[in-house]
Amino acid sequence: MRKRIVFAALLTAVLATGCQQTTLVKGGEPVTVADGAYSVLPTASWARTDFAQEEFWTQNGPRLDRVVFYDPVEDGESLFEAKSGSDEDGPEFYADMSLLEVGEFVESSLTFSGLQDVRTSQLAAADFGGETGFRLEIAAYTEDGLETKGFARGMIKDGTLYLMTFLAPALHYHDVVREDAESMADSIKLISARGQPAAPGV
Amino acid sequence: MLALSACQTSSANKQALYEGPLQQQGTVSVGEGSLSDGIATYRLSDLQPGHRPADNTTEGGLWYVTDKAERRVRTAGNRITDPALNAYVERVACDLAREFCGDIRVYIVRVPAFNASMAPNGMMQIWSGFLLRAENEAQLAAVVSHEIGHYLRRHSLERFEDIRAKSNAAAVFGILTAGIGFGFVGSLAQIAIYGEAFAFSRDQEREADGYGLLLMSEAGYDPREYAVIWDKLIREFDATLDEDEKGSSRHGGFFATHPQPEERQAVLRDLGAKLAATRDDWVVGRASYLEQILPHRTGFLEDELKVQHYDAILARLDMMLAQAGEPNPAELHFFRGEAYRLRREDGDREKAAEAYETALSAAGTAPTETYRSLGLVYGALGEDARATHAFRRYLEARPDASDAGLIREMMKGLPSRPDVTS
Repeated sequence: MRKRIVFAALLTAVLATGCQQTTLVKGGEPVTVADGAYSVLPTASWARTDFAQEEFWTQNGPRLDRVVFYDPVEDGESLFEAKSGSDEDGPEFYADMSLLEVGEFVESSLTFSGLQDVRTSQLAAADFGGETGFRLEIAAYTEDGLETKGFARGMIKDGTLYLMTFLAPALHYHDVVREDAESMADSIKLISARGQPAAPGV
Repeated sequence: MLALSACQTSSANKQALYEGPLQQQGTVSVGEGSLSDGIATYRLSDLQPGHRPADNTTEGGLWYVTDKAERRVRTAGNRITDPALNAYVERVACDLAREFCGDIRVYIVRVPAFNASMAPNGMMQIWSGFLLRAENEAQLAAVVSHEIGHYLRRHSLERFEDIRAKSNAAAVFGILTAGIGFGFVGSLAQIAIYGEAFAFSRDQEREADGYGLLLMSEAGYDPREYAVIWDKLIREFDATLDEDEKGSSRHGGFFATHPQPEERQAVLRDLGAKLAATRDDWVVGRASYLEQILPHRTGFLEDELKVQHYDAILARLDMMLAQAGEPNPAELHFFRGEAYRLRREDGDREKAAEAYETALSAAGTAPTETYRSLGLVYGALGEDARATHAFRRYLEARPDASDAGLIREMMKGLPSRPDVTS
């Protein structure tokens, strides 16, 4: 009976994690991310976990620091699918969004994901893999009230949104991990050319 | 939970459930009795102020899990901790609960949906979406009274016992308790699950409505305001329906599990009018309510936009603008513009531009972001000169805005830019 219970517990754990696999990423070697859209060159070791629409990288645990590389988002798609028990997908991205509206899209998408009181600021043009992209700062609270902050880097190219985010508790982990996360963002190299870069515009 | 009830019992029974608390004090034949001593004769005979169930009872188990949930709600990320707003709502709740004041704790949480809830242990949650939609202190009192009614009648325990008699006790306990305290999560998906799992029965909702009327009127609040809540909620919901769905049976969304508020509205309107005739010095409290809500209203409206229920919020904004004494129409017009701009249906950019222009000329103070949004929609409409002008006004007002640099870059892309050096 005890073995059966243990087996059932293991099965539940496997089912609960679905097909996600966590692997170790060592610094110093380029790694392809975002569904093959670009590569990054980490300078530190990270634990990498793949999900259906994104992959999480963390140094200390996903609740303590988290870089997310989202799969490229096409016109009319969402960063996040509907959650269990709901038929409402997250906010939709539109290819004709201005960068200001992309900032709003990031903010509402992170709200949809469960973060509280999400605020974005310092939205500005920034390099993304050698193309003209954008960056913005993020401040929010977790569901448990923990103050968290970080940044997003992204680009709209040929009607597709490329996005990565970094978030960590403002207390300690943000400052410890941010430099490594920024370094990865700076190291982005595009793999699949999908058209001409989109200049900031209305 | 302030759920919306459906009609499942006979009309006579329904009326009795609503009137229960009132009949106990002889006030349904309004005019012949005082409203005093109402809850003293109707509450559970063994529910005393300071009540705490023994740990080894079913009720004790319910309290145990809700106590745990409450500890999380205290530190929840979306709890509104503003002392002034909390003191205000707590004062209203305390006046309504009277000797049970010390048993009920109010938590205001930032969730952009119309609701409030009561846990078995006296933890009451008030959602920001309700505070945004309430128009005055009497409407706040109605909902708070309703939730107090759930507590006084121990509806959670009653509901649990009722379901347990019909199904597996352990499973039911898990389902019921899983949702407790969900409000801090703020996920609409989880809210929906909670609504399914922890909703009070429809008869309990009717009984709580009766308490709502009773307690609010005993405290001097105009009982007619209770039905107004439902009237406007119906109008807001109708705005989300296609033409052929309006006026028919409601389905989908919030009303999927709590349908047909018309019944409650009709009964509450009837009983509210009867009660209202008993005196002429009722308190509505619009000014006092607005004084507390206005500092938070901008954030509440921003939250509504983030959940993308644009049709509903547009309908609500129109109702808010139609209210006498609205102190800042300019802000409401700005948010109408934002809802149109973000909805992106055909013609919405034109409607957004019109709403922003109205905001800039309306009474009150339009946010400086009105100029920025106006620049965005004019730019999208190809009206570059107007876009440039709007952006320039934004930069003049907010030269150090964190997005000022980006705005200047965007202005360079406008063909008709006159100067973008500010």
